[in-house]
Amino acid sequence: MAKKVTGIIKLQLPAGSANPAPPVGPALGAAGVNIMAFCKDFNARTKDQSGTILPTVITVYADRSFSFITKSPPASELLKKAAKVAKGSGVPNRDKIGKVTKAQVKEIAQTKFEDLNARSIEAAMLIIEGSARSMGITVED
Amino acid sequence: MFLISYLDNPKMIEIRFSLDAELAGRIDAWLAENVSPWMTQEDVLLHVTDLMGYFESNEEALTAYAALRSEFAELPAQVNTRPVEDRDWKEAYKEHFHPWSADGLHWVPTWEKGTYPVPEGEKAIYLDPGMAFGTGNHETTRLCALRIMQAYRDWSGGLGKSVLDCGCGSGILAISAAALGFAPIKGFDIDPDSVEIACENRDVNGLQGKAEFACCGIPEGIGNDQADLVIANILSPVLKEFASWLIGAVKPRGRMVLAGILKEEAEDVRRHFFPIADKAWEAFTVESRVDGEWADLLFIRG
Repeated sequence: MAKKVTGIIKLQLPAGSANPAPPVGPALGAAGVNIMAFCKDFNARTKDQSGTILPTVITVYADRSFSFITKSPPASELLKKAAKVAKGSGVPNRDKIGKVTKAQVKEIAQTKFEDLNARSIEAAMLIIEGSARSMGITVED
Repeated sequence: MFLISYLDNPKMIEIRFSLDAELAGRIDAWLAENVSPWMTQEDVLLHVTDLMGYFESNEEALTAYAALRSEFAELPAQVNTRPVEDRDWKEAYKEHFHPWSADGLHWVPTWEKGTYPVPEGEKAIYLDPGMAFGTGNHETTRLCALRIMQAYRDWSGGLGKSVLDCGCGSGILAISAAALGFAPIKGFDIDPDSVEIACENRDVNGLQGKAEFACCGIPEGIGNDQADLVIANILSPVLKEFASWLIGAVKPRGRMVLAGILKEEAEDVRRHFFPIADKAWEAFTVESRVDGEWADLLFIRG
């Protein structure tokens, strides 16, 4: 029989280095999740992606057990890495802070394709280009 | 083992309030694409989704909220910030630690001392793991504890057999070995809070002087030492990185228990250790057990 789900927590965690400090501790502790077991499991499963932030969905069951899935890193993270900039522009329309190529946009669209809810890679690329514009990153051909 | 000390951050500010379902969906979608300290928690039974954030100061909380509100203008202009009592979540682990036993040894939470019935002739170890890893309820710890019991049986007791517990966490494994009579025993961890907790757990069990704990990494913790039983319950990449140190720490006819290994990684870790052990030791055998999604590796040096 499928286990009864009682809660769903969505948060962002550093791959391979979750620890019981806030926000993990208070968020999971309050939901009744075994914090240390979660950190051990999460770090073991995500260590290959160290250095990235992973949107994570934790499902909590009635017996206080949990399962989790991780999604691809946020597009903004991938765009900043591709453009080699530390943060997005405060005034994206006026202050351009970096550039990415179409090829880089395609690569990011491919990485994120499953999570983007797009019908084609071209549609996914349009979403990524929109994210780039909103950060002040120019897309070049 | 954890690098960041949670004790350094004794107070927090929480912002938390319920969202309507439509806005919650849009914020969730945004959070999946933008790095942010905010999170959501859906109570599936009550059909309520809360927006939550935890911050070090009121100012930080309000700045982060203003940034989120610049994306979602329909969020309320005024929100309450609330200091969160640490005990609200730091005590939550107690619900997850239940007594368990194997071969006449019982692992019992300290708060059940006096109420937990220990059968006559059997031994109990009392533990309060706090935020350190190691209650024995997790498969990796249980696998190691059972390997200690196995060595105890094979060696007809622990007397005169030394133990090195690398990445000791709550101290559960070193303390179990001490309770069985292994000596001398050393444990270490890079997390200072774990070391403090391990010492407290040792003392609760009246084992002062029977196990020493230090705060350090693997090279420093091992140094030139060798032990009859070397235990490392960490994670595969750390085990592989320090393979030479761990192998060098095992005495002739000694044993090395590796854990914190996902079962699909066990073969990779074995292959990594095999040639190094083959070069360092004249003869050895390897065994592996699986518990849930986790595996251990037991190297027995000839």
